[in-house]
Amino acid sequence: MSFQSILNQFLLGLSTASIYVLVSLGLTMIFGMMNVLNFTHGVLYALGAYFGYLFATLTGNFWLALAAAPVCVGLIGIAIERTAIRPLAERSHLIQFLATYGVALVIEQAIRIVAGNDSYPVALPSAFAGSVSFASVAFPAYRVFIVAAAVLACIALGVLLTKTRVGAVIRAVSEDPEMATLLRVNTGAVSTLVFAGGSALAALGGVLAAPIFSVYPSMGEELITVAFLVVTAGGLGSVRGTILASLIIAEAGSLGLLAVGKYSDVLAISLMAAVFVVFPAGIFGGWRRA
Amino acid sequence: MSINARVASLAIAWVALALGLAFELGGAYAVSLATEIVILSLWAVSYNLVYGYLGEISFGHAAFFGVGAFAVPLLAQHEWPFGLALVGGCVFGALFAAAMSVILRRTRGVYYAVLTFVLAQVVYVVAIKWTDFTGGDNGLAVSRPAFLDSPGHYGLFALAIVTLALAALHRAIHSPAGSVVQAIRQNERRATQIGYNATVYRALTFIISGAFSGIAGALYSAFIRFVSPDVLFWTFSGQVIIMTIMGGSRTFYGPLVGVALFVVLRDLISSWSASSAVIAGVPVARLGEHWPLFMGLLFFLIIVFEPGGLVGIFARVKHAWIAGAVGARRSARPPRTARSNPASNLKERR
Repeated sequence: MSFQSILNQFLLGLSTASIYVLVSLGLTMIFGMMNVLNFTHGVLYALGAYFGYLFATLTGNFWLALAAAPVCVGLIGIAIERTAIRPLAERSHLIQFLATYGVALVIEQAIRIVAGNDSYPVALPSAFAGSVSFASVAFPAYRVFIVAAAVLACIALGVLLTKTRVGAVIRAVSEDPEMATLLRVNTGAVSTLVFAGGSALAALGGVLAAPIFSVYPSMGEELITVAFLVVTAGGLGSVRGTILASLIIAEAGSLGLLAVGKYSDVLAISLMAAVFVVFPAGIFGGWRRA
Repeated sequence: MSINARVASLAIAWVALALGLAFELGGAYAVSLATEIVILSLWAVSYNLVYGYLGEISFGHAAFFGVGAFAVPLLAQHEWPFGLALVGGCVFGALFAAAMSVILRRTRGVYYAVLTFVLAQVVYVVAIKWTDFTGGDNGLAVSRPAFLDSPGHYGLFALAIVTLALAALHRAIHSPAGSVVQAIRQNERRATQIGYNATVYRALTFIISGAFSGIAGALYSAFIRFVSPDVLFWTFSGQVIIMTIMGGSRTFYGPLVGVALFVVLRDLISSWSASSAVIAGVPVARLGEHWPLFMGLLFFLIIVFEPGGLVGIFARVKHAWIAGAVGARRSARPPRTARSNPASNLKERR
């Protein structure tokens, strides 16, 4: 096992982690806001990839697809919030969780009805088709771009939440909705906005993943496993936990490939299960009863 | 219907089902449909132990069903007789549930749902990668003893086992310990302060549920004569949730109704594949394979409009009918539900 191969796997893991971070951040944002674990998040990721494919083939421009697909999925997110979350606001959050499961089933089959069961390849954007060298390791430039995009998105989100007025309002509603309402904040609108934003992040992850993994109908139900794993292992609602858990699971899957071969998935998921044995509420969830 | 009339009609339905299976009435298709409903009924009722009686959502019951299903071919490789393999499925289910409940001991609510989901996925990932042991994607063939080879005989055998298991579950739920579990659902802190060890009761409920799911899984793999890691995937856990909630989680027999509806509806929609009709430009045949769409929609509507499931709808209709017969004077009374407060079925714990 050479240094080069380790570095290569590490960088591959880093780019996979970036996709996980983007998707899981959306999930954890929605959870932090309305305490609902959104089961449709996986199919929203898939929808993002499909819209990305659609726009990229229609216009031949990947960057346009990258901008347009999250907007479309954000609008679908608003529709989901209005049908599955808002009308059930008086009921238990677990009922909302189950309702989103029903909606996820419907959307996944709708994708299959419209696009069929085939998988579609998405071409790499020409600007990042080449490779970049790190310490004599040639690495696909597109994966570097994914890492950069994820870091950028995290910073932008952090700035939005901590430095802007909109962010302050979002944090206020998430911490004390009743007080925020008394301060004449339209909590319903803020919830919808956050849900749309979280959905758009899932779609962004989907579009970015499309050129690497291509686009296929079961991509959502595969990713939701990872996303649930990541947000709960990190501690539901915790952003740094989400990032840390994404890194652990992606690197365990990638670096583990060198150590245990095809069992690297087992290693990654067992590592996460071990996290729950030690921290039942996730790494940054503390010991509180969820 | 008085209690006696209800017992009598249940008994008649049971005998009719048993005779139908024994003589393979209605052909091979009806027998296979009835057998599947019988086996999945056990799974749904044992699932409801956790969902309806303990008040937690488990999204990982495919793990117990699946290890039970794998127990039959794996133990058969070691020359275990079929009967013992069924017991093995039960033990496997119980052991996996016990291991999970150690991790779940402090977990409630949303975390419970996700943690069961994640832990069951661990089992799935191990099963799909450990190809020497589980056959991976190709799965394993499952054989049945010669005297159970005919579908009718196997259906009857499954009915007998499931009946015994349901009787045991019914007894467990209506035992003093079963009442404690329901008390824990309604108010865990109060139950603890009365002196009950909530952690032990919760774990016990989960383990019993896992054990009976294991039996159902073992019966299932011998029924379809095949098992692959697909029975461990989370979408399979989703199916038992849909069946249980669609039928009605607030009564012991509600999940049975849900299983029957689920299986019949699934087959009905799948049979559209042979249809040549066209609705709004979409050929109906194309919708046949997309039965989860309709199941998801129905599940969503039931969650939103009637959390009591089909049984709840029956109760409403019956009440409206009785009220109509008795007279308008009494119709103002609210519909009677099996338990007082619908919202208390799942508590908010945050």
